[in-house]
Amino acid sequence: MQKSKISLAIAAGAALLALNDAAIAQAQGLKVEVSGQVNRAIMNVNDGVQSNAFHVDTDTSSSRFRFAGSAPVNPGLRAGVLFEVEFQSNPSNEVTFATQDVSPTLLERHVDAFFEGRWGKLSLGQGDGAANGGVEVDLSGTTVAHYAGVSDIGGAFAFRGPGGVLSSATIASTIDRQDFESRYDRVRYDTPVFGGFRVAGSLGSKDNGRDVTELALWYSGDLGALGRLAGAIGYSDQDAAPGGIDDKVVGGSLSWLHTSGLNLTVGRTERDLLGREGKFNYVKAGYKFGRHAVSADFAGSDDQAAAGDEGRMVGVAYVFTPVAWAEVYAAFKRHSLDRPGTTFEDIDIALIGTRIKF
Amino acid sequence: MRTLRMLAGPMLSAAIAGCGAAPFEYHPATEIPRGPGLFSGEGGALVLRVDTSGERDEFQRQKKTGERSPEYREFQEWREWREWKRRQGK
Repeated sequence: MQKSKISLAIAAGAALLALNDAAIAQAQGLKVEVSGQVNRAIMNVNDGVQSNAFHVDTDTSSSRFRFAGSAPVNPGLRAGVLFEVEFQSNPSNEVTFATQDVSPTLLERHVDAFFEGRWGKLSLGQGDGAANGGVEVDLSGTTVAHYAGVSDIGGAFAFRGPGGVLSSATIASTIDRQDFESRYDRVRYDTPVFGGFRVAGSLGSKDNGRDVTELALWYSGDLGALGRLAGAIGYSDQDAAPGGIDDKVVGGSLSWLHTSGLNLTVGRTERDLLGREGKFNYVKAGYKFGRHAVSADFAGSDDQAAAGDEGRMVGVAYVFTPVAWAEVYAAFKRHSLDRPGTTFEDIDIALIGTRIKF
Repeated sequence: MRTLRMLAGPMLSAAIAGCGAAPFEYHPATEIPRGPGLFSGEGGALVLRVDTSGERDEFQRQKKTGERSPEYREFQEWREWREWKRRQGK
């Protein structure tokens, strides 16, 4: 509650400062942009006992549309909005053999108002926390097919234990990227960019009023002949649920794209869990050439669903971009889970799909 | 803390090594891509322009009443002079 009050005070104070000029200039024309995308795929899953193909909306980058606009308020100050919703039929992270059809619903992603100037950017509303995406920085060109969010594809499928019996251990519960606190109602401040570096902080609440604090350092730089480098380091803290502990995550990612097209991406997070620490590691190596991009990745997790758990994922992917607004992709990956005293079947997932921007 | 050291070290080293390099704006590939769109063309978004300055209202009023500002009359005279000049050159 205390943090919510602080958030409110920061938002009110900043808005007053921004609008304090006696004469607020009449906006000289508002530009509203409407854009969106459809991302559909066929996903084949084999859990060692059952195998089936599913028509899915790829949760890596769901089908969605947005309205975005901004206009000058006075010299040196712009105000704007971002309204974005997603509409997924059969999300790739929700379908299972038992639930093969998931009806689409319109879900909010961003309902955000902002002011920006030379002093930085202040956002208020539903939107990204300061560190959201900090584990997912990726310059490989194959993100749409596979990236650090390994549970976005087939996350709801459960591992089968001895005798082919379904367990409660799903891909999502055993190997999650732990990407901080995602999107929620918050006040967020981003500094201007200094030498490629930017600091962001946010205060807000989610999950029925549990306060959230996030802080992140972002970097992106063009190193000339060495190519491009981007990365982030973040920290998040969500107040404990009754009987639990504060949900604290620290981590980040780093991605390097050489001018030759070779690229390397790494990510890592640690999350405080009751009596243990959930860990996630990610490595991807790839090559971009012309309209093509290929990559192989590996992810490992420790102690996420239960103490002693070791989740593993290896995958390969190919993305073809025939025109600037369309990507066609194919990917294959294998998930495995080691738990002391139990043997689980591997889960194989193949995916072929396309993302078209409109 | 180990995670922070593991990530911060390479990031700062690379950034310092590339000191003076031009920053570029990283755009997450999980978001709607930048660039052209199927319907929206090269701009990548359908653009609705809202004139909040009142210029369009003023234009419509002047069009209706036949009034013209001094600047508009000067512009028309310049266009007529340019046409006259072009003909002189033939």
